[in-house]
Amino acid sequence: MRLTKRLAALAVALTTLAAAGLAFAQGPNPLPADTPWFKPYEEPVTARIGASVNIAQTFPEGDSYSHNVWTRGLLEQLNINVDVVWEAPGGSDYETKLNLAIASNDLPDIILTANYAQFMKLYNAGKLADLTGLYEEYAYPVIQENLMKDGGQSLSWGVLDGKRMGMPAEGASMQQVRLVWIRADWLEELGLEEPKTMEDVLSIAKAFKDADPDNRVGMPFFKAVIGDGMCDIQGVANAYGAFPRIWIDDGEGGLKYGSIQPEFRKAIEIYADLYKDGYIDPAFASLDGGKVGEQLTTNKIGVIIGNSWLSSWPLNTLYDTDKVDWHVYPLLMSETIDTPVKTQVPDIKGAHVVVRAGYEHPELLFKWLNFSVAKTNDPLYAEPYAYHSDPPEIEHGFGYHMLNPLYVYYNDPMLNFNTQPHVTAAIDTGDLSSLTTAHDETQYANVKKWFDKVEAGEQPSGNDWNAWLSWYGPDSTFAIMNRYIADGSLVYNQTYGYFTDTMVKEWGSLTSMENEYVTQIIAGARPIEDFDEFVETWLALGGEDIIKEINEWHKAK
Amino acid sequence: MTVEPTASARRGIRKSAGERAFEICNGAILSLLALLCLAPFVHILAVSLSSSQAATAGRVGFWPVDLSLNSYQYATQNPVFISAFGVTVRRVLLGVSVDTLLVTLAAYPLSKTNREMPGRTILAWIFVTTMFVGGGMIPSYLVVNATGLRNTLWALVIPGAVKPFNMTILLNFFRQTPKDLEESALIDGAPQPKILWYIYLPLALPALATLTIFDTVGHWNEWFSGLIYMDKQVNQPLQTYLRGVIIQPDFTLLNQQQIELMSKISSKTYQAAQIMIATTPVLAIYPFLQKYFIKGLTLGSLKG
Repeated sequence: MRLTKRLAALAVALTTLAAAGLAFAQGPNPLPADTPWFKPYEEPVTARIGASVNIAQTFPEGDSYSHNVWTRGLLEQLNINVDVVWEAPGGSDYETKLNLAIASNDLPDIILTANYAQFMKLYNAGKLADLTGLYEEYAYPVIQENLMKDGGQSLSWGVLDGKRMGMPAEGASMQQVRLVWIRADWLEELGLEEPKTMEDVLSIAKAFKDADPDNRVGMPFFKAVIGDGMCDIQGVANAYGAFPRIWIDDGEGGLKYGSIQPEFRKAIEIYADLYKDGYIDPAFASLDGGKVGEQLTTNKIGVIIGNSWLSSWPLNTLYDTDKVDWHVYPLLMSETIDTPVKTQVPDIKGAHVVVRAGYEHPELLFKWLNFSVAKTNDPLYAEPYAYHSDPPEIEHGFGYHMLNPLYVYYNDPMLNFNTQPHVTAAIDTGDLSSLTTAHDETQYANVKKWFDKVEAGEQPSGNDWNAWLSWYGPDSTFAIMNRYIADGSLVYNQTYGYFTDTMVKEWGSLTSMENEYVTQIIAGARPIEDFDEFVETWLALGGEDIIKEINEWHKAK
Repeated sequence: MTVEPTASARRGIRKSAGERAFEICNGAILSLLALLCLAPFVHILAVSLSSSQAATAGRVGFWPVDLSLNSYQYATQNPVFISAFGVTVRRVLLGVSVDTLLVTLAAYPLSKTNREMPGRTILAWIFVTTMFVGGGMIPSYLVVNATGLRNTLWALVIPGAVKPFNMTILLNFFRQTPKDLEESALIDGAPQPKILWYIYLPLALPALATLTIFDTVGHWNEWFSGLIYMDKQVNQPLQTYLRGVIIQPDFTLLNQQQIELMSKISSKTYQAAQIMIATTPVLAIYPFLQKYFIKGLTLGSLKG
């Protein structure tokens, strides 16, 4: 959840780039009060909610998560009186707090579950309101349209026994896929060619390390199987046709678990060899994102496989301090594979927004969700200042989408992706008509700044560089991800956060066993042959039942 | 007290080579350990006083790089930090007083013999049992919730007010006080509360000082009950807040404005400044209570 929240926050941050205001003014157009989506209640209706918060968030004088632009806006414009009954930091703390609320039977009216298991727990206990029909009637068409962009898949997870019991709080994020990043200056310095295959990438990493063995790390790595968007085995595994930690199509109409397939063994073997030859930091098990960030900014790393946000943290800092430019490549396939490489999209937790059974206004959930989307990203109703920053907001350091006590936005999942061709066209032709959204315009301005500074012979800032590397041209991160989508090379977890009964009991220990085996094999504490032992143990300790249950569920769908 | 010739007494006369070697080794190892404890603290202090670029780049060791007080300024202006600090101060004051009162009142009767205080063994065992068996998070929460303590400062004080470990220390201290003192007071007709107040407590000051330190540090550092019993950030103590700040990655703050903000005040120096501010009060208490602290811990050996 911690990771998901971080990524979700990032996705929304990139999406909205919102600035703050002390109150919502009416936007360019007032919300249409005669529609079911935005019709205000006659009398103020109270909605109690537990909020997942960011502790480090700062507010203007007098504001808090309980009283801010959102709670005032909802009261003024829809007559919804938001009562934040508790606040907890996102992640495991939030999950604990909600578990306590469930145990003491003191549920808020609107609930954001931390994961699918909590959603099921509430449903099985009969604590959830039936939302059947309400979604179709009350959800703003823009939301319905955006949720259909994945073919309605995420929507279907909230339907239990034929009834709509919840709304998915997160979609599979196509933006959180792995890319290969290589330091341009080192590549040039050593006269190396651009990589064509994953083997090339690995040998570049080795060459970088060999050039300065005392100070450099060959292949940054810290989380054995699935990490926080970087430095895990996933990128290399994908290149060898392995899809660890997710359920994939077995080609016969069923599903199979990626981590127990022979292709994964190959990926582990590659990392074990890297470790043996000294190309992986021997202290890898004790590293984390912050420490790898430090290694990146202190010029210790030249190759990293990670998500598109690397350029907005921490590589932008490195650009600021040492003017280091990076090249980005898609995941390249291995020489040993003859089919085009597929890239896995990270698994989701299956968090859902639900309504407490017995709450008098279950449709209120949809009005709130409508309001959130309309005020942040709808060209008709978004606040005029929502996309522009000015000094007071920087001082307070927040974007107002972050302050919503119900942190769920059904934005267009393609918004960021579409910005890339729009911005590129506008820069190349000088014709700004290709910029269709406020997001396009903001990013165009940033990229333009980069070009202007380069032309004037000035040093662009790390943030200008980040915008340029993200949005401009065919080698930008979003261009590469657009190609992933266009080529159909994304692989999704086919269970979408669904948990079987055995998984509720065993999944935690099975995944930690998986991490343990993989870590030990890579660190040379076990031979690679023990991968077979892992598979056997995994199957024996509940894996077999889970495979059966998952496939029954899959066929029943 | 029988006087035995101790090592220190003999030192004035002559030391054997072995003794000297031992002392040098001892000193070296202890200094090394002390340095190990001190190093992280000095590092955090250096980070908190450095510029954010230097801290993010990991260039700060034990000396500040590009001296800057921005983080302290920022931390002391943050209203949440200030309110959390206030909660912690109130919690420590209230908590330590309540704890001391209850622990004393529990330890005194239990320090008596079974004849003087029928059932004391059973009672003592009931207290001790709670050191090993807890109610668990959810049942505790339900009790705190049902008794209406939730969201009050008392939720941070009452649930752990009687600490059996502290009680046992004080109990043993009371037991070691010579019985004759109590008996003479009894002959003069003093009731038990008076005996406790005028005889036992003044003699137990070293133990009380020790327990006060344990308790202050305990209350100061405790964060979990703040998380589960306090629903709003404004009611949460400092350590709950700090933990949230430190474990929560700054990635959540990433948009253009925030990146600019963060580049000015990197969360790293900011966190370090907050840690320094949060640690200082406890550090400040130690020197004042330290002499009692040492005496308290070695109290068993003082008996003659």
